[in-house]
Amino acid sequence: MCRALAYLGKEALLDDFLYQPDSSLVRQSHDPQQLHLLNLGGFGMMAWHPQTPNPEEPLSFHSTDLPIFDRNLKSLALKVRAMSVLAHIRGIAYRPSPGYGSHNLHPFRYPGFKIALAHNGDLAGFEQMKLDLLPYMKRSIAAQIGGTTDSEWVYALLMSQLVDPTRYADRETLARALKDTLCILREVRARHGIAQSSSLNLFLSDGRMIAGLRFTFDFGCYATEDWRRIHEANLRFLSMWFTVGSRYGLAGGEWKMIEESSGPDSALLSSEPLTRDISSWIEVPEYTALIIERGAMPESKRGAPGEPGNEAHRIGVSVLPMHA
Amino acid sequence: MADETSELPCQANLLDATALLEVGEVLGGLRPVQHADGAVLFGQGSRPEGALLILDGTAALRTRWPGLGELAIGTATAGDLIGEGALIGTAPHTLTAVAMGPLSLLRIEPRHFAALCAIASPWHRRIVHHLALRLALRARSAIRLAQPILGIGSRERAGVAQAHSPGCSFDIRPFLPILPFFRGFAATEVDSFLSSAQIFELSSGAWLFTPESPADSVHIVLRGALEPVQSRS
Repeated sequence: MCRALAYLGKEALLDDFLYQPDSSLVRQSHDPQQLHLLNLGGFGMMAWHPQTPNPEEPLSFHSTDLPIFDRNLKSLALKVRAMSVLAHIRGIAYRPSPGYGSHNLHPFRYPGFKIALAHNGDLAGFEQMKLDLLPYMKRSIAAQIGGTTDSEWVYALLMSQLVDPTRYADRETLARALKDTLCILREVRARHGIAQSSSLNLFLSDGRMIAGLRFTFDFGCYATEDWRRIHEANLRFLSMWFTVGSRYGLAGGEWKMIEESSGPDSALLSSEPLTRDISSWIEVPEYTALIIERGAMPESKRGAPGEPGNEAHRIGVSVLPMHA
Repeated sequence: MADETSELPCQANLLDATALLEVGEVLGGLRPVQHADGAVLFGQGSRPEGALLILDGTAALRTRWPGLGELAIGTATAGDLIGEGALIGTAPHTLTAVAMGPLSLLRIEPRHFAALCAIASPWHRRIVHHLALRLALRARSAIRLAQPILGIGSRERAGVAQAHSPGCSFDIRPFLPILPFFRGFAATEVDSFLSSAQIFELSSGAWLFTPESPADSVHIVLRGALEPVQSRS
């Protein structure tokens, strides 16, 4: 059922998210703590740093290799520092399937677009409803769909709700687009009589902002045809957690957000905490979007110009109820 | 040991109607522990090993919030039970407890508590009741604390009153053993549940109960979800 993380903050080494913590994202591919499913469908990542050529374009890495054995990924993780990261390990059904392959690896980001998306969830009856989503999409965006997942269709649908996805979206614009996307999905599901539990945990980043949506349509309404096909993921609200602090690093033998100054500079959003010690993490409430932006601290709380506290890298966290 | 515990405030609350025999039975599962000033009894995020009943001394209770540093929640003194969540689950501790001076405690092992619950004497039921009340109180405190921080408010939503449709539109019996509530139930226990419970269905948007309705039953959700909402009318 996939696992994902999004990071925004001070420069950090990819290895510190992907490999080092005792429940790092790569470790979650074979040993997730909060959902008993292997995530063996591949790994994808995008990373932004302002001091790279063309900084609005992220470093992009996708591979169907198992990340735990991928020497290229480990080598990259040990060398690359980023100020925003969106990473995903893919969990898919344990059977031969055309769905397995690099064309379906998250995060999705179409050329020139600002926002990238990774998804942790599953829309029931998606094959049945997907063509009815086309009228809600811009033709130029729908034409770029290259994979077969509900996740990429949701990405195309979300991008179609933005006036211009090649420009940065502010918090209000993004929140409205998320709400519109949920409403469209709700309407199309109803049209097809789909009332099964369908989780839609989204992770977004454009390098300046990260966002998470923790949402489930018809939560708890598992399929009633065959009890043998019910999985734990159909009974639980898929998790999403976040943590904020001055910087992410190793302190007292534990990888966590470290408090160093008066305000938060870094935030990490993840399907589940990266450490077994979850004390520095908060669960994102159900039916909620979390939008975390750089430079979003209110003017009254910033320091004077030139003071360290006035850095534009201070982050702000917005918690927005999402009911479609 | 029995003499020592009988003078505790919580003993007055919990043990006043307890037969001496039962006290002895319980004390068999309690392990005395001593801690020096500053010792960490358990840390936030750590796996619980048992509940602690404070016999003498005081413990400071603290919690860390991401981005907000450490917050003092309060103190626990003689007679207080801390880390009680260990008795009913394996969720990590939600706070850190530190000895403020020398501390004497009794540790209650979860496996012993489980055995006591299986016997289910009135004494044990009373502890469970006490435990549930404390957890509910703490949950409410945590929600009150979290609401302004997370910007979460109670949501108002219109609902419709609906007569309960008795029965279930599908055969629910095979699904029960996979639902979290019924895990570990024997087949006969599931059947016993079904024979003693009333199963009914509600349509989407219907109220299960409202603040004015009498609290005369407990409900277990078998499929779907319920949302607590607040009416401001």
